[in-house]
Amino acid sequence: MAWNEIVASVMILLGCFLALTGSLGMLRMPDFYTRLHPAGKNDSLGSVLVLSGLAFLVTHPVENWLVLAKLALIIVFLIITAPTATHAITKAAWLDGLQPWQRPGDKEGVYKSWEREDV
Amino acid sequence: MRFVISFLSLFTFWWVLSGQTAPLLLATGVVVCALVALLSVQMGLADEESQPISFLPKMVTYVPWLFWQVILSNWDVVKIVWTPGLKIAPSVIAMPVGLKSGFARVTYANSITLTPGTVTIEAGEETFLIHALHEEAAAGLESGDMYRRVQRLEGAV
Repeated sequence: MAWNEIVASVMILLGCFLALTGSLGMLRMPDFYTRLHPAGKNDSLGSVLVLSGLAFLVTHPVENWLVLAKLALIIVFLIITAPTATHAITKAAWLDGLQPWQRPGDKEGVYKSWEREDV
Repeated sequence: MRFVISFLSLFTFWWVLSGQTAPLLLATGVVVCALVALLSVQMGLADEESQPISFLPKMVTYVPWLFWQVILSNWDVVKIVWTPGLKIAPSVIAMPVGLKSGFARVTYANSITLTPGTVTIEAGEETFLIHALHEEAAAGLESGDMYRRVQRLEGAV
């Protein structure tokens, strides 16, 4: 196996693991807001890892850099859109009045605020 | 200036996606890109908001730092998801934000969502509403490290 295939395999496997973690997190978390954390974070880095892994498998002599540029573009757009989409559905749920889950017995309550000095 | 930037980015984007080399097609691409760029400048679409040029040089140092934070954040969530007992204590935090430009606010909001245990619920003009997965996540945000970096991006510090 060539070195680039090994690197690619490791990255793709890591990406798959992160995607699996994201799905498992979706099932384990107690409510909508907490579910967004594994969904929004692990899936984005997971896809970035899979795409970067694919970039190492590009060996076509002529169209090599074109394919690489396309993969890079997909990564850039994913990095920008994934958190934006997460924010959009979070805000939708928030405006709809969905209350965040809190651990039973947490006396402080879910809502906290603090004042910054440097603002 | 705006026209040149619009034209160059459009043409590069189109060329990377299509990979054309035939002169006729390339010329067609140039004409169409110039037309679209001209239209968007005429319509006032190409302003500071859609072309944050002044931020680009500073993004060079911010993006790698953010990427490292993304990796840390993923490790954090992976640990939580795979440990039995689900060690989370969610909280919703209202946080005053004094960033002036829309670009800096969007960058900050997206960075919060990408980093350890925090998701932006609402990105207002003066206050951000943030959902934190556990205490450390809230504390990490409270330290204001990322906020200062985004401020530097805006050139305020």
